[in-house]
Amino acid sequence: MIWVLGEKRGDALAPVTCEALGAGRLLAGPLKKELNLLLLGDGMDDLSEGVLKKADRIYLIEHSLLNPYTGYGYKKVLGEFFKDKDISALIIPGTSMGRDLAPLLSVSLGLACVMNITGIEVSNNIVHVKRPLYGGKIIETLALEGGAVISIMPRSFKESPDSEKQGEQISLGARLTEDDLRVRPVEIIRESERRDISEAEVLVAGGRGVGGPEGFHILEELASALGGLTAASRGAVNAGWRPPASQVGQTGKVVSPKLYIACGISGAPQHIAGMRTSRYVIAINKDPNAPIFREADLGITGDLFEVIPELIKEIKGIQEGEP
Amino acid sequence: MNIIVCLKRVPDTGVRLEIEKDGMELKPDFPWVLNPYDEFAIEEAIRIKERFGGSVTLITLGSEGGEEILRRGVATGADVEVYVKDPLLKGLDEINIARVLSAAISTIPFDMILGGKQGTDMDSGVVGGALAGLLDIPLVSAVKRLNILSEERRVQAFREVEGATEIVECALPALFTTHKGLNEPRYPTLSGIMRAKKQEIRYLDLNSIGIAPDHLSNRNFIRRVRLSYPLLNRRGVILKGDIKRQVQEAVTFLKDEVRIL
Repeated sequence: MIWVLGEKRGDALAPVTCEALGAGRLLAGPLKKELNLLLLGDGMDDLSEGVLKKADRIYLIEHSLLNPYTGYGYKKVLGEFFKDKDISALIIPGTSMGRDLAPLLSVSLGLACVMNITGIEVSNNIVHVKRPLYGGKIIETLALEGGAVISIMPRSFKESPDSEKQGEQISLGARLTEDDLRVRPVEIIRESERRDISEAEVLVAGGRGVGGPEGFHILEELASALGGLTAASRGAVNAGWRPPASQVGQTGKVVSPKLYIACGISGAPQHIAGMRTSRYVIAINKDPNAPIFREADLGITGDLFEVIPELIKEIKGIQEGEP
Repeated sequence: MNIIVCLKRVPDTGVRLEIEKDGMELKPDFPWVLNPYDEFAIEEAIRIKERFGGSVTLITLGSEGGEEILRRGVATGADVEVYVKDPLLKGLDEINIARVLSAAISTIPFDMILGGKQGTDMDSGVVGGALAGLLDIPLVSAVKRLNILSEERRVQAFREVEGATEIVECALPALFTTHKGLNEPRYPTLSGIMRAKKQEIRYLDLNSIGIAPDHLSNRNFIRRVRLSYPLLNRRGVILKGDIKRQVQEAVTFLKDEVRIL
């Protein structure tokens, strides 16, 4: 069977849950296997509504200690759940939760572990998966020859269409004590930008060319006009202008937004590694020879402090012109 | 506080990588460096040792070339170097690497294990979590701040999650994987480099840690089929001249192709 572990974000399901179900369908369809969704947490009654028609079966496993996530808590509950079940693949979102959990689970379930999958292909019952290595400079294709825990890169798989039939919903309890958790969650501090750059549809990224922390205000304005977030290059993070969580690149995050706007970023290989999988790239740079232009669909040559205000004005003009 | 730091060497992140004709391996002509995330692990271990005493043991494994990164770690202040060196370790998958590490580490007393949150080569971040699971000790991954609580047997850790920081606590012994922002790694000192040259590396192989080669033989049911370069289908249009006109073309692109407006 193909299994997908869903993830909650706030009071709703994280978008990557539907992407994981999309990835699961790519396996379940050709392999003619059932696709089952697992949701762990506490008080999740309304949560499964959006996914009811995307899985054949939905298991809700509830316990007060399953919210928030803990690696050993999830490992114990899932270990018991899977004791008498067959696993061809267990797909886990490539989020901070999934990256923490996948190796723990793979060891305890005796399965292979493949992280950061961006593509799945099945032909003649042979499963091939793709993942970026070396920060995206190289793509590796792997054949899976046994059961595996697979984590998928956020924004790499399309949500699967709803099927006609509604999946069967099964609620289960769990046995868990405080001691099982091993690591005790104390507090979660929400940062001002609530979403993570790896999950944003639009990213406006700034580099050294932004000149300082105050220069990022205009990038933020552009990002919010496009409903996106700001990100930063290693240079801007190391200079202390932006937090490490916003860093794109080989020692930061690998992102795949629909639109990536690189502002004042020259385009070092380590940075390219982090944004290469973006669907569309626009680069804004004073230097017409900046390597970033080779990685862009569209390059704007000019001072970003002249270009971006003009861009915001034009974008807002169009948005306000809409009925 | 006795701390084990797991190290890995990776291709320098600044260089171009090329694939061999057979499509299965990289051409070996690139410089190796210590995995950047491991630098934060070494630095944190040294800081904890400086505050609480104890020792820092570095461990790496592989078929060749690990000496350089071990020496670098000693030059910045680590005490002991362990190298599990065996030709059978070449190309081993992450879960099996964790198995080898856990066998080697089970002979060394420790309070904490540190290591980078992922290698910048495979970008998997599996070894840390798998090792914690195999040793059955608490795991806190992608840590950006560590506080040893006064009673010394508990640690508070800050980890990055989507759009938030999570604070957790656990008892020692435990394993933490380190993220950027945890500290500013120091550079090796001259006296450190001299000391590192004289220091002896403790070599182990699979036999000496009690792992039979066929224990690793299944390679965990994952088989590499090929390596390839990412497909690039960028339009690569570079606009020039009047900014107003350039911006108008960009907006048309946003409207008609990206379809975001």
